[in-house]
Amino acid sequence: MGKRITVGIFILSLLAPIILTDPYHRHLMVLFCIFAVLAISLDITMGYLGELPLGHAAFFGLGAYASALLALKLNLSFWLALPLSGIFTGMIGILIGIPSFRLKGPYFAIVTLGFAQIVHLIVNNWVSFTRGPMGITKIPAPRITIPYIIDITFKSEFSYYYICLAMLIFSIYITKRLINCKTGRAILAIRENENLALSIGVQSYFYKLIAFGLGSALAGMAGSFYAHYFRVISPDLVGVYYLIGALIMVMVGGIGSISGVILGAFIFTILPETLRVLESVRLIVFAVVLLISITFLPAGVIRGIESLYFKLASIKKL
Amino acid sequence: MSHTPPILETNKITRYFGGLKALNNVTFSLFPGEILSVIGPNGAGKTTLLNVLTGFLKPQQGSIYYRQEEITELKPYSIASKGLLRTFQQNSLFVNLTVFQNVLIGCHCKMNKNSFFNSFLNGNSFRKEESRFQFEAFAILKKLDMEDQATSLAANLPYGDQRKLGIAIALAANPEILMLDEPVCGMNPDESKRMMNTINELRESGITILLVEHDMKVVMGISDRIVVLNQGEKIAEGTPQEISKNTVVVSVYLGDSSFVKS
Amino acid sequence: MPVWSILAQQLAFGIVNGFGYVLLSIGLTLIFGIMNIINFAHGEFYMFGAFVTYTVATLLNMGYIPALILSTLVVGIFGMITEKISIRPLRERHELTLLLATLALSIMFVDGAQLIWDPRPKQITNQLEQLYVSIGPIYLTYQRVFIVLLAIVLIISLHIFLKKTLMGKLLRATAQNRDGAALVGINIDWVYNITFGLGCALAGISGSLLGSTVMINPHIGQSMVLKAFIVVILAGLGSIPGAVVGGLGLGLIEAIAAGYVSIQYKDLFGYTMLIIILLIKPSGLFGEKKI
Repeated sequence: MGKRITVGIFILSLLAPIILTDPYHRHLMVLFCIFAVLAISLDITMGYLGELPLGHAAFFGLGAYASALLALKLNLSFWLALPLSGIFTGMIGILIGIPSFRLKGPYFAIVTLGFAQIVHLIVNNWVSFTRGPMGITKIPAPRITIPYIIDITFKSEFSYYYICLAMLIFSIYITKRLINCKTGRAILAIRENENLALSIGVQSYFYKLIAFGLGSALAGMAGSFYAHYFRVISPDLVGVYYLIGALIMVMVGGIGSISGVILGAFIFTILPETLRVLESVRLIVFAVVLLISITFLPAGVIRGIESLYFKLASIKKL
Repeated sequence: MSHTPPILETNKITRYFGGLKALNNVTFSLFPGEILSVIGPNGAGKTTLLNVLTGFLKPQQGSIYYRQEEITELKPYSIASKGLLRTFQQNSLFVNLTVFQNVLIGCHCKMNKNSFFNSFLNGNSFRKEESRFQFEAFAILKKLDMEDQATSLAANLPYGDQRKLGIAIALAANPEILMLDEPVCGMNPDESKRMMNTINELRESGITILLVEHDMKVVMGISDRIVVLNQGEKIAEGTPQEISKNTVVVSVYLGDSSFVKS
Repeated sequence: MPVWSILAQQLAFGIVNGFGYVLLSIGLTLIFGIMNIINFAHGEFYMFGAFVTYTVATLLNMGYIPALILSTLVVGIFGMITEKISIRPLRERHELTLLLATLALSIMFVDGAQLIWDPRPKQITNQLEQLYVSIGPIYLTYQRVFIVLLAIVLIISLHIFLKKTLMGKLLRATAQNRDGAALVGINIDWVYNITFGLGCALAGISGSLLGSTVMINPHIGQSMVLKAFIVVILAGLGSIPGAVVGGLGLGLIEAIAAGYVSIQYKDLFGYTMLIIILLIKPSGLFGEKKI
């Protein structure tokens, strides 16, 4: 959407916590980055592969739990726990995908939801390992220590924001690289016309698993960031709230568009704040927003903005 | 032509749907460099045959050999990667992508260095491969006179161009054998003539063609040989001249006026 | 008590629950079979059935049977309203869009219920729960017997309705060929509206019936809808006999699992069953790829 705009937004994102110094605003920025990664991860399966993985929220929670348990039980640093939890959720994603992709459309959606329910059941009931409904506390914050040189603990919103931003930029890069290569094109082809894709040699099952595995890995890493920021997690992370949130981000922002889902993440982060008054009806408002967006803005807000942009650009030429 | 070994052979292909025999003991051969048409009245089993040959359906009995290698049990993508490509009569494009993107996807099988990992590293070999295939895709569009439509959405193309795009996609995958499912269906005489020329050009460039078609003018005008199906069985095989004189074929088609007209 | 009598008791409970699942699943499969919609909010109509019954029976103290009748009507009509406002505008859209829309509705309904009746567990006042009958070693409340009997009556009535009545034939015609039905003058809007209402009413009845046997809260619909999906997918979307067999089967499997494995993980069996069946029959349940 214009190289200058991209550079401008990038610089803005680097300066944001310096411009807005209120810890609460910085907290929102951290949340925004984490949610943006989650939204991008969902969009890989929803926007590019064209399937509705209702079980996606499970990966977010699973990544959080994996990272927390790796850090607490094996004493691994965040910098190891993060990629390991990504790999773990990616592998679980592929395991879940293997039976699930025998189905399509609504059946795929329901089966993945079933898997998510199983994950939720296990996380909630395996108390000896996950502490069940009591959740996990005292998750360590990321830390870099080189004796005599550096000792930074990423506890504050300010410092945490920058590592989250790095993760977001990494996710954007990965997704862009995916789309512009043989693998990404195969995934799009499967979405558009699986039979045609098969007829020209695309091994559709394999590519579906890649897309799904990548999406779950990214979601898991978003979960890891969440865990080490809030430092307290509970089985709710595997629940409905983040699923609906992720769906809103993708559908409202703009399915199949990186800038769209990031915009969606922005809206999702800001929305609860503007609705402070309506705290108890928060989920209903989310659901209503989703429904209205599905009905009236099927391609998401971003397409509305883009067409407005093009209209303005062409008016300028006159 | 009968001295060279067939590039594709089928042996007693039988395919049931419930109690209905869609294909019954169908046996024929396809020779390199020829244009073979498969014709028959509606419901004769032509599209089923195409689906079986390309791996989308498995025959309950019988076998298929491609260059003397059995491909009966292979999946569609394996068969495609060996060089056996097909087009579809309906639902034949990647509708929400551009013409150019459609053809580029066709190059999928040939791309080796364009994997996700290489893309991630974005090194020189990756970028070279990418531009090479983009060039090839564009060349195919040019060959079919579609280069001006490269950035149009497939969904917005006029009908005749959509059928051409279907062929372009299959071409991108470097076919040895190209199976076309009713390529001139719904076209006016002008477009049909141009399609016939295109098909001939494809054969000139070394591709063997199997044509499933209803339009007798095209079939008689372009085929080297014809196979006639009726109710799942092969009732005749031969040159256009032989077929037009075959009384069994004529009687089967007496209900179908398109045959009588030519 | 001898082991086999405990087993018999568990199985009896399983059959009772199974019939509840059957009614719920028939509702879901009707909506899918005729309208081609996956109704993700189906569990919430179950929940509403339970809660409206609660309101009428407990809060208004009107007795269980009137409450059951009233709640069925209310839920059915509410289903028809929902279809008209939220689902009809999306009818021409992609099936996943509709799925998302019903998912959004489901969230709205759960949270709405939490606001109307608070989130604390409630009990439906039901005289039929107080009395017992014993069949051999099995003890069943009147309510549980009532569930089985009413379910059987409803299943048979539904069968007669679909096969013999004019309206039933209209529904079946629309299911088989929507455009054809429209061409011969069947009012599709109306058929869809009635179907959705009927499906939701069945869910509501199931909720009223089963809800009386447990404590209810606004979230009970969420696990029920997955059970209904499991039954319906395994049985074949659109198949009513399948829903009957599947619903009873699920009820029995859960009863055995709860008795011999673990109550906490009993839901796991339904999900696992679904996944295993899909692994065994790779083409899903609907035959080979069609071109």
